[in-house]
Amino acid sequence: MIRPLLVTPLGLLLVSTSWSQKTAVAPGASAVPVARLTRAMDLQEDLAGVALPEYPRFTFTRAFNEGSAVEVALDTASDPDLADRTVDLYLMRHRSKDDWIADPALSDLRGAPTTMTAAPGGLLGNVIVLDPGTIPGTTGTTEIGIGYDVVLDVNRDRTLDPDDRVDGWGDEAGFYVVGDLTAKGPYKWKEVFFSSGGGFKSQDIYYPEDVAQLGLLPLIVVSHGNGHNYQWYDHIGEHMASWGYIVMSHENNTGPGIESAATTTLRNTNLFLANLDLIAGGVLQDHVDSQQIVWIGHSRGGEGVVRAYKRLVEGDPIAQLYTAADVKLVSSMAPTDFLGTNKSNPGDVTYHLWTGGADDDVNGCADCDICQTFHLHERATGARLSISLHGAGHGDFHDGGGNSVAKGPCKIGRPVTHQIMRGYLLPLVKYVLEGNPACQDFLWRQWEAFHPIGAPTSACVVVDLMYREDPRSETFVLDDFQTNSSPQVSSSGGAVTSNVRGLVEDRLDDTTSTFNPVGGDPMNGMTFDGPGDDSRGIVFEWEKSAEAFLAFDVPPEKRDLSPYRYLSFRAAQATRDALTSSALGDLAFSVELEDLFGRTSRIRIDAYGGGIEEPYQRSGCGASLKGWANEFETIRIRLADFQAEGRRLELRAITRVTFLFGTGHGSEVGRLGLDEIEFTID
Amino acid sequence: MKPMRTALATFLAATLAAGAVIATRSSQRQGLSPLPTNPGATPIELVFAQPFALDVPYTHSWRAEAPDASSGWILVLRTDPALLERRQTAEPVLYAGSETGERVNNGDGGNLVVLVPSALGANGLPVLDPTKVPIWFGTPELPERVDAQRIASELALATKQGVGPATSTAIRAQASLGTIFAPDRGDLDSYLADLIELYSPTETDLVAGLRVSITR
Repeated sequence: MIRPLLVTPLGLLLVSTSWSQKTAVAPGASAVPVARLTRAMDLQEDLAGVALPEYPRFTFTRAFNEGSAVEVALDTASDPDLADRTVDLYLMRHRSKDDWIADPALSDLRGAPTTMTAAPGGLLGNVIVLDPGTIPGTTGTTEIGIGYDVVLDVNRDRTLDPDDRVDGWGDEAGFYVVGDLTAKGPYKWKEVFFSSGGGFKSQDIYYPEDVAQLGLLPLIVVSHGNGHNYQWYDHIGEHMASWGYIVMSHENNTGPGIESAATTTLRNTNLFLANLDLIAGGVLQDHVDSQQIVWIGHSRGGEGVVRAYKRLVEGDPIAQLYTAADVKLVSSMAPTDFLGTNKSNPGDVTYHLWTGGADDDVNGCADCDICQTFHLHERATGARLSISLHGAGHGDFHDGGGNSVAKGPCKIGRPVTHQIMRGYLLPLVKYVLEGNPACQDFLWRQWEAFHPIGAPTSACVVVDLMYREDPRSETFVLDDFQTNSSPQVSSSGGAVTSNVRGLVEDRLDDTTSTFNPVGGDPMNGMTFDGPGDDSRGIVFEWEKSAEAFLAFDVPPEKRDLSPYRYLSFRAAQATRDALTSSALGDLAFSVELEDLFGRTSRIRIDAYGGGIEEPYQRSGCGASLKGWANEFETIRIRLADFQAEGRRLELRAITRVTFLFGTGHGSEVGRLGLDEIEFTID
Repeated sequence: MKPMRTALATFLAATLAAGAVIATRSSQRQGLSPLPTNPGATPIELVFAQPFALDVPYTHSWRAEAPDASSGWILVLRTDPALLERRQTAEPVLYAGSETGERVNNGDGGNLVVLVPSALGANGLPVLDPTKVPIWFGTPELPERVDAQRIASELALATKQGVGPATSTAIRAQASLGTIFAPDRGDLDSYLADLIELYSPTETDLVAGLRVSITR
């Protein structure tokens, strides 16, 4: 445990707080607390997590699936005073600070704490299974996750005191165990129809049967796509109603176009709120929270909800009973982009996107700007998230039966797609509306390493996630390539150096009509930008036998990264490129941080499970070759992980972030797109 | 509503007696059919035509001007199902003379129920005569972006290509159906649901959805 004493112009003077200075108490004996606990004390220490096969060998996580082992690591390289010391580890239900202060007595849920003597030398040998997967995560309520704390009782006095450490000292638990998010929630649901006349004013409504006993419940509105039907979203309506949401799926006037669809979304949301005294005999009256609205749209309806939100922001008179501030989340399934950046633009609302790799309608091909789903996502200026499913067709997002409108290998079909949708949509909505901390991990951790319990796991299920926090939430963007267009200067003003081959910084837009690589189209396979859009990034490549690097200097005034929790970036393999095709599979590389003292720490991105996924191996969009659009995935690495095993990296003085490629660092060859390199609070 | 159902029942019996071909379920494909390169060249048969009139107008949102409509034609067109296949990208816009048509159903088996607004003439019938004007699918576009000028240019293009009135061998049988009078679009939708059930029987969800009664 190294704590700063003083920061000087020359550097940092450090002082060690030694565990040995604290009072040692014989096992089982009661102790006199060193001091009373106060709220101002910082007893937080990350303890619970999962072991990794390589450095950093352990990562501390927020959520565990029910039935999965919860592990605890003591890093005696980082905390040498723990070496050879015998301590007790308590597993307890989460307590707030005030509860801990009022009752510091320790009582392990398992009947007795785990006693361990930490070996010197680091994490190896000091990772223990705290629970093999027996502690519950299913709450029986609409709450997701049961919060637990882990207490490191250093002096073994069976009391939390200032000598000890708690994973969960604060409002948030040390970790959460989560039940099956694909399973139905605690409520039985009812489905009713409502119509206020012809002209696309009929609605299919789902709500908890016990709604009369419940308070205000959020409203989820579903706007279907062209040729689809408002009765085709049972998989959303039933699932979310069982978890305490009111879901209204309405007739959508998509045939004429996006403005008509947007009008229908705006009107039906208003009609629903205006007719609560009539719907289902008035049972929903006083139970709909009109300030907690989620809009979900499919295909043309997916663009329609974005257009509706933009019109709402601009004051569309159709909305009499709600405002833009009441719409907390807009989510599009395979949306079109007819109207372009000025009209179909989510602005600052939290925006979410579903994309099916096998979609044969909104297919994402380079020759069709209308069909590129990512345009809307890239225009979102607030928090934004995305989930891409290889093998999912356009029709797989609804449950109307018939044609999946899918083309490509390894199709996953409707039941699999819906199971993934249930398991992802629930934590998405819970996280956005309630800030539920247990849900966040499901939105960004590599799918291979962590996904809802009931989510299907066949070889054809390949899921890529993008996750960006709201830029207004104190992130530090090292380089998002939106300013300083020279590849030698980052958007934060620092120097960028590299020896990678063919580095190009430009709009993320394939400028040809196919996904086949051709000269003069370095952004081949990129489908983030339509006409007028300017989402930018870089591409580059490396070949065997050459160690390649790409280094971003951190500007001096930004070098204190200690307030941040994660280094975050997104990356994608370049489709159909020979370097991608020759080593088809997850691509890995390493990331290194360097501090003012020249000390470095390096982590391979696949240490956490999974790398950057290969493009979906679909043909078309150009003859003969296989590989669909470039799919970015967000990688988030805890900054504290760079300090594991006693690496004395000074997070308050980070001078450089370097990406390392080639033998020894990950995949031997590759061509990569990279973007949104930033540090985030959470 | 009752008179309308009686009329439809009469028509249904007549049609079945005549051995009319009812739409069949489309094959269970996985992908989307390619859009015909020249939609206007695809033959269209007019198999049903009946005037309608409403007390309360509705918005004809299938053209840029979005006019109010309170009368016009209910048509059933038969054509290549691939042409009718719904897609999220731009679809061929349906025209009838100088008006756009509203697609009421998907036309899974090739039978499409359509509304074409038209003011009533002195004889109490819509001015537009669906047996005499060209009916065709034009350039793919969002209908809400199609204005009078665009319609004129599409009509000129269609005329140049030799598009004429739809063939209508069966249409004479329905001459006696008369005008459907309905209070508003909601009531008309119930009638349209019956027609879809007859001509495109696989579209059961659409029919059920249109039949949801007004909650009062």
